[in-house]
Amino acid sequence: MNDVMGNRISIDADAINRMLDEKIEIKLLLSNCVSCGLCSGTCFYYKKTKDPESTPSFKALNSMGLLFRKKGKISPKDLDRMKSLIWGKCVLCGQCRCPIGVSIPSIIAWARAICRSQGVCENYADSPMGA
Amino acid sequence: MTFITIISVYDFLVKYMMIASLVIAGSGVILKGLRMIRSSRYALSHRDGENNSTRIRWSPESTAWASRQFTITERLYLRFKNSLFYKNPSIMAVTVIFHLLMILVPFFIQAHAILVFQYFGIRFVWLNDRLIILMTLIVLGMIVIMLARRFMLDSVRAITGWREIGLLITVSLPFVTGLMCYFQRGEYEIMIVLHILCAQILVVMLGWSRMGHAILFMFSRLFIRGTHSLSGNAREWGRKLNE
Repeated sequence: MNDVMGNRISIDADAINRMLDEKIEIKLLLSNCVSCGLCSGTCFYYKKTKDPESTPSFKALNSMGLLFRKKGKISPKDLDRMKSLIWGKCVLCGQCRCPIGVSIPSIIAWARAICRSQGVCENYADSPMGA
Repeated sequence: MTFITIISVYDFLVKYMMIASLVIAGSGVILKGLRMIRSSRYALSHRDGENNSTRIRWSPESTAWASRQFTITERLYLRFKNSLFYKNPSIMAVTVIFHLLMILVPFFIQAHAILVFQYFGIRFVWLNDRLIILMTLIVLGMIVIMLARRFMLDSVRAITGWREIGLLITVSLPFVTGLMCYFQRGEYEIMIVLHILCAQILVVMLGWSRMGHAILFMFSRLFIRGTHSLSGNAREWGRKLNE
């Protein structure tokens, strides 16, 4: 997998771990998520596509949740999958609601920041809306 | 001999294991609470002597336009319309009834009230047995609905693992064994031991599993500043600045 500049990606697990330590509250929030799926009813993207992978909690658990589970030691394939979830299936509109108060947009935003730190982000020039 | 053994097991469970499970659960709850406090800090607007002019924050000024535009009734309606009760009323009704009864039922059972009186000398009120049975059946019905929802809805099935199913089954076990004890189904002595064990496992899980959402819920919805906070304004997520 290549980064946004076209270079081959090498994942820096230490850098990821440092970023994970900065937001330890996200680990706390995710460890208390009961996966009720109520957030899906508030996501316009899920309501439009009915794609189970666009459920807000699915995106949070498979981005930051995955990073915490693997302690930052993820593969480029994981990173690519994360990219398609947090950029491809979320616009960070902030409309998702969690009954126990998990702030899903902040989780997705931090997952994006971690991806960017590894050189992975949405290449808007290649997207249908691109230049 | 077997009867004597069961009696001693019962005594052991009610006396020592009960205290042990409460201590284990309590330590988990305290640890969780400390983690929440450590992961949060006083909201910027509450800290004196700091320059917070650059930070966009929720203030009376920023909501002044809303105060002028909408009446209190309209604002309450808007809040309701944006809540999960409006977006998904059926499952919200199920979950509210389930949580309410799950907490209330154990406190108002006659047998539990007698136990509390025997061990602590505290008199407690209890509800009619028929009403308690009805409430227990409602709790079990709600668990069945939630389990069915996990398998039937694609969006929920995608995030369902063995932990979520295990959690629901663990919650249902004390109610099922309790009903079996009341109706004297199966070997009563074994059933009562199972009932106490299941309840103690549930208590321990409150401190050491996802069941901890009961505590996090109060913290995140009442104390933490955020869009979905009910009245929380005092704290915000993030470590202390000097850490």
